[in-house]
Amino acid sequence: MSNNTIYLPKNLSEALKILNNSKEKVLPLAGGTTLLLNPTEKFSYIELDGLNLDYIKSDKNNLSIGAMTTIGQLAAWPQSARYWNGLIRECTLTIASTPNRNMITAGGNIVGLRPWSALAGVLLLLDGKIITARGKNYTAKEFFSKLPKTILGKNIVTKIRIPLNDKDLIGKWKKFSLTETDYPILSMGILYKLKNKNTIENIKIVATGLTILPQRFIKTERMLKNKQLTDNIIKLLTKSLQNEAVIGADIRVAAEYKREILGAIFKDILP
Amino acid sequence: MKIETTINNQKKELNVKNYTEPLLDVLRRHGYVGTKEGCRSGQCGACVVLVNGLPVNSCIYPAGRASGKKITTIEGIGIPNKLDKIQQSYLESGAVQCGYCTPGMILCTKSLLDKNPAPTDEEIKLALDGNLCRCTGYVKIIDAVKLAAKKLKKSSHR
Repeated sequence: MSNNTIYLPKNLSEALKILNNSKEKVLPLAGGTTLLLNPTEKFSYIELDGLNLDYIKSDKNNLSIGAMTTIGQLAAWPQSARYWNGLIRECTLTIASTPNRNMITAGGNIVGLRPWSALAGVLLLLDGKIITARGKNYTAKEFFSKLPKTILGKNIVTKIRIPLNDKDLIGKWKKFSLTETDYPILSMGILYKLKNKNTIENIKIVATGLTILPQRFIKTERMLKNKQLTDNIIKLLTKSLQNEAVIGADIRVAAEYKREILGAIFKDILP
Repeated sequence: MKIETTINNQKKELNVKNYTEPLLDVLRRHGYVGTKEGCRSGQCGACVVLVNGLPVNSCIYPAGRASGKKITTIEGIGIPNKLDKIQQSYLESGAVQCGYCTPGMILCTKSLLDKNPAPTDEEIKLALDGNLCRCTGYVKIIDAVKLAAKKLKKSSHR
């Protein structure tokens, strides 16, 4: 059982003070699931539950998601099934199971970067911004350029902001796992616009679970631009995507297996 | 440490070893033994309880966080001589074999039917996606949820 010290701040500024002044290693406690699964971790934690960071708000420009909003709340939010063709709902439902989605938080999912951190990939697709308690904002590209915990230092993610200007683009998300309820081996998402029935005007492609960090496939995206999706083009671009992918070690499957699966999912997810 | 919480509509003060002690252990120590320990890693759903009406895996839920919240365990749903309609439906549908996973299943069913009184098969599967049963297939369990929905609808019309 864990004997970690847990600080219970009354508000965010108190939480930041604790982070600043503490000589020991102190981490923000989001959903808490990782801590209870790894109770030997010798850190202290700052409880973020109760600091009013669980909300979903939208205006005509932005969608704002509090860092302590659970993945379950996000999946149940009615607009998650509408904006970007239901991309957020599709993605959030691939994260863990119903009881765990009621505990895993949006902030924890993007900072912890586990194989099920699908939200990180979606933020890359949707040009999300990560807002922190000290007022420093990061684009998703910056935030996922290295481990978020090292980027944050003594700071706390408070909010995710997603621009709504492109909410009519079509998004898709797919998870591949060995069984339906297992952690994903990898997941892939796309966001695109068609010119006519079969020609891509613009597309973004991301995958999670290949390495710790989510990956975007800029080279393949460029090759796909203005292309009609014929069998030959799809075959060529699948090769390109497989070559562009950086695949890290995974005790469950070999890298070559992952590369093959990546190609198969790409073919499946294309419009 | 002590935390104040409401369990099955009764105010309770619970002794908690530390903030991150799993809620599962605290509940069982205080007599709520219908909450079962399964995988202890948030995978199987045997330990599901409702916190403020939502199912969570109590084996990975920090007990300290339950302070001030409303917890529902299987003991709050029905008792052996007075079963709830959901429990009765599980019995009638043959959805119970060893019964170890059943408390978690029933609590997830309750949370679903409280929000959605007439769920589709897909919605039922989604609501129970965190509950593993190693005895049965899941067909009878889905039947039980549908029967419970019917029974609850009937009783709400009376």
